[in-house]
Amino acid sequence: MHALLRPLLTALAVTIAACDSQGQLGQAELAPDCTANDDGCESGPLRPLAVGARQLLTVRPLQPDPGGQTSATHFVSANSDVAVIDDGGVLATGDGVTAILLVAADDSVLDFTHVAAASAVRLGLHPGSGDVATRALSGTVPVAPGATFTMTVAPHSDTQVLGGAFDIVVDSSNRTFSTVPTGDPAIFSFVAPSWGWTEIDVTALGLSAAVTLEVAP
Amino acid sequence: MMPTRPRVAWCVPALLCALAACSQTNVTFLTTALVGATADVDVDARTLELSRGAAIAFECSEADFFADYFGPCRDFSVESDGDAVDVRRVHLEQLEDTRPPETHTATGGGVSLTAENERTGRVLVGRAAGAATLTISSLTGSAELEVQVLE
Repeated sequence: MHALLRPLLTALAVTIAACDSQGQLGQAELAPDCTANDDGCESGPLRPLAVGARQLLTVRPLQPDPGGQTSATHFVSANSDVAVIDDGGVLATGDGVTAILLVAADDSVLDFTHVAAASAVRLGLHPGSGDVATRALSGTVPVAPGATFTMTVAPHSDTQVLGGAFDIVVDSSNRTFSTVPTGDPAIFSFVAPSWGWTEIDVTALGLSAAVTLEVAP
Repeated sequence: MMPTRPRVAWCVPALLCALAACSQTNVTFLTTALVGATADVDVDARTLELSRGAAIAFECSEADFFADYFGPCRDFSVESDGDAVDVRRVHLEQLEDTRPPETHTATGGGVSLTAENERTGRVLVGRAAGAATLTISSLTGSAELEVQVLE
């Protein structure tokens, strides 16, 4: 009797979990690796990456892992037109969104996150150390003699600040403005001499920006 | 920020099954896509729209009145008729269990308890633009899910 009733009473329901997952299962936290203290590195969801920029990820299991599955994992990009895995990091290759899968040693997915990438259309030179929410510098900026001037380089899309690490070339026209190492590849500091001015040209991601520093007693 | 899953996702199918005294396979989608990508499930039409490169995870569970069973899908398989979707195995053992205790004992006649480490599902990844039909099967039954992968 049961065998006859089974197909008649069997149903398949598709239910949707309306979750706030930001495209993650939540078995592990996939977050930007901020140990390098690079600009654009924040805890929480990944900021959209600039095309050409690279972001290291850290993996932190949120639940006990008796099987040690998270100890032997690797990343896989679901769409290489948007991002590829490069030396353990995510390298943005084109505009769009792609899943980055955290794959266990048995080739099963342990978790995943989604990464957005967008082409930068301009470079912002922001005053200070790491605060890219401030208005970008332009024109001539007065600095006091002997003062340290610090700026942060950030790529912008049409609508937002983009993240990731990328090569930046900074050239100062006046070497009497000495540079100070900051430990962050996107933050640059200069010590103003007693007088003079310098034009600082910044090139990155195929874009350029410039600002002039002028000593104002 | 740690993602959370609402309990309603588990309550609804369990209660429906208890009321109808039926056998039922539940496919519960666990994730959403990031803004900028699509991962939309139409429950009634049994369709999924997925951006190329986007991923979505689901869990499969069964409530089998005839066998007094409530737990992960038995003899679980997912077959795709094309290359548009990449169907990948997934570990769900470490997923936070937000199911309320009553869903473990909801069906009449006594049911099997679900061990916390027994969960089964798949991750679907949009591989190439196009359509595919997924056949999701368990011991209790099977159903088709039409997937459209968007460029």
